Amino acid sequence: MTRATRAYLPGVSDYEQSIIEATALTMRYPGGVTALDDLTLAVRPGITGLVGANGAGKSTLIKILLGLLTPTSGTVRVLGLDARGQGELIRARVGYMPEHDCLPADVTATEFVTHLGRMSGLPSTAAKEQAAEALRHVGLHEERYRQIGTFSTGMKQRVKLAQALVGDPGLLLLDEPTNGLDPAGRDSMLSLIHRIGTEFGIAVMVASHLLSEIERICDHLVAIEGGRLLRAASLDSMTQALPWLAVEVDEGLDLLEARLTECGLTVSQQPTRRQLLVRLDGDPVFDTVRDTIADLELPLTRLEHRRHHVEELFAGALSESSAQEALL
Amino acid sequence: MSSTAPASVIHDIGYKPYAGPRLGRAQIVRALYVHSVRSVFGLGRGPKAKIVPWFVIAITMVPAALNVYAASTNREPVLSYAAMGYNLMLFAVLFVAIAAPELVSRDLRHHTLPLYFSRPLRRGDYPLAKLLALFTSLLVVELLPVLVTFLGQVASAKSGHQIWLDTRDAFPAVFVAFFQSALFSSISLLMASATGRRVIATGAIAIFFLVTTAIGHVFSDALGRTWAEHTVSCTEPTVGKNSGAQNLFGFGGGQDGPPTGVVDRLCAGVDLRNDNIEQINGQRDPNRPGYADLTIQYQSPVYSTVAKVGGMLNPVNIVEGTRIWLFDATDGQIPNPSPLGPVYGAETIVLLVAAGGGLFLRYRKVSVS
Repeated sequence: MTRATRAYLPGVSDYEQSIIEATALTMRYPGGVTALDDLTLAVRPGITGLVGANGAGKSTLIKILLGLLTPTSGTVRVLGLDARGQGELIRARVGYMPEHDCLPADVTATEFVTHLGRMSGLPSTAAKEQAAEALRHVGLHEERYRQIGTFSTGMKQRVKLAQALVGDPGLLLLDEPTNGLDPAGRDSMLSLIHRIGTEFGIAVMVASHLLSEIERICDHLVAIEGGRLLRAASLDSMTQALPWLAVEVDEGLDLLEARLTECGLTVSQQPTRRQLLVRLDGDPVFDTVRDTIADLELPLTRLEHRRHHVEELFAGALSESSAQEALL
Repeated sequence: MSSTAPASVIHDIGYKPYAGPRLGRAQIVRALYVHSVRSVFGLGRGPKAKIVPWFVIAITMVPAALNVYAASTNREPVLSYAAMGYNLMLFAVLFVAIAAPELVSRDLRHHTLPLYFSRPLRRGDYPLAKLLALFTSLLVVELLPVLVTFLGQVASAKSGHQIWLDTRDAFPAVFVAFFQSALFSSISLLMASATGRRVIATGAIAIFFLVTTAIGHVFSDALGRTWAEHTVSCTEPTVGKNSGAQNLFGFGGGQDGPPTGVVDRLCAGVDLRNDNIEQINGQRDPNRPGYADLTIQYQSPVYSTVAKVGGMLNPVNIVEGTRIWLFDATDGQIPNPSPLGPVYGAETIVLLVAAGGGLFLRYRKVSVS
């Protein structure tokens, strides 16, 4: 067991029922490759980011969670079901969106999603209704009778999401859902996932190699590297570690950043959210920020005592394992 | 287009969790089976997908319709029950060459399989549903002309006994249709599952069946002839003086005796000059006035081992050989495989198991990622 997992586990029982629970999970392929090495983690409801470089073991973990691979040792429970013996039941309740292209070109989105709804165990009529619902939720209501071959990459990604969503799964496993999307498509896909995880109440696990992206929508993050758990934590739990102040203004972001930096504060800009993160080194920070905004007469929309900038936490951890020590 | 918001906007109608029934794995396999059968016949798909399957059905209806007409006018059927599967084989090949790639190559090409296998289906369920779908579809296509012919015969039948005889005749056709469908569907699916490119799969399937058929024909034509003798006692035939010494052979087959037709006609006093008989010697039976013992010397085909083995190269011939062996049929479309009959039967089973098993093995290896 790594230090990270040991530090993490004691808290598990305090939370609600785990969606995914893996204990000492090890997967060695016949060739001798160890894809997962003594991985222990628990995933709670909400949106969980599964971060790791390519080859870190994300795909292997997903296959094990779906009951498609039998781990060499260790136990896994998904939605309270044992992945070793109850893979079928798990797969009936888990929606999976693969990373790669998996759509036939010559059928309509409705036909395709309806068929896969039936393959998930929905009766004929229900499958049609649920397919229409799923396509509506992903924003393809108007295009549902068009052949998938005529869709843009962004729309195809939405169809892939819709087929995972059809039949109201208890858990969604999304493998690199923003793959191949332009920045705008990426944003709308992420907000869609966020909406599914919050409003729809479906637990979501998003696998990605881009932490900066999924960090925006995740409640929890799990980082794996070389088949081992690097770090698993809820984003909330990081607030105490290094507090930040999020400042959101409608305009003059750059000006504010420059002025605050002049005052000797540590500032970083989050371009995707149009907000500044100011490191809370001491009490005067609040006053400085308030005064600076007042001086500049900027329209302040939000001032939030926020958690640590997660990307930094993970970036250090991902690059060198020894950095873990510092993070814990 | 209605006046609703453009695609990029998410309609905010809220999420309703699904509370309805969820079906088990068996019913999912059934759904996949039904879906596959529909796609074999192009149902729920574009008009292009319907051309070949419905063309095949239409073509096989032609001899069936002629049979019905023949039955209604009290004539011999155009295409006998036993010969149907063998003679319509080309259309069965056409049918599976299009249907098998439609069933499995599409999913390979578009990498759709991970979506199936991340659902309750197990590895074996997918090929099972596809195999059953193609098998039953082809079986229906092959049995349809048999059924139409049968109904035509029944409608023209004058007695219950005739219906019974007809039912008995039809059974070999059902046998051939069953095994031909099983072999064709498993072999063609195995071949189609090797590639995601439909054109290649279709070509490979067609070439396999047609080339092996051609080879089978070449081999089964390699037959020799021998002289045989048969003695029969019958009413003294009233045949002409020189009638027996000509080439009389020419119809029918059979290895263990002269063609029954020849004997019947000889005894009925028909002039056999035009048939394929070498010589007939006759003697009046002294104990039975009006009767004669005839010794007929005739040329008989002898199927060489090559001819018998040649049939084993082709799925159609294998089924036909098995039928000849099992039903002891004399109306075979290929050389009687005796004594290799059991080998034909065994080969049918072995091929079925190999092709079916290969198909299942193929899908055990498919990766999900």
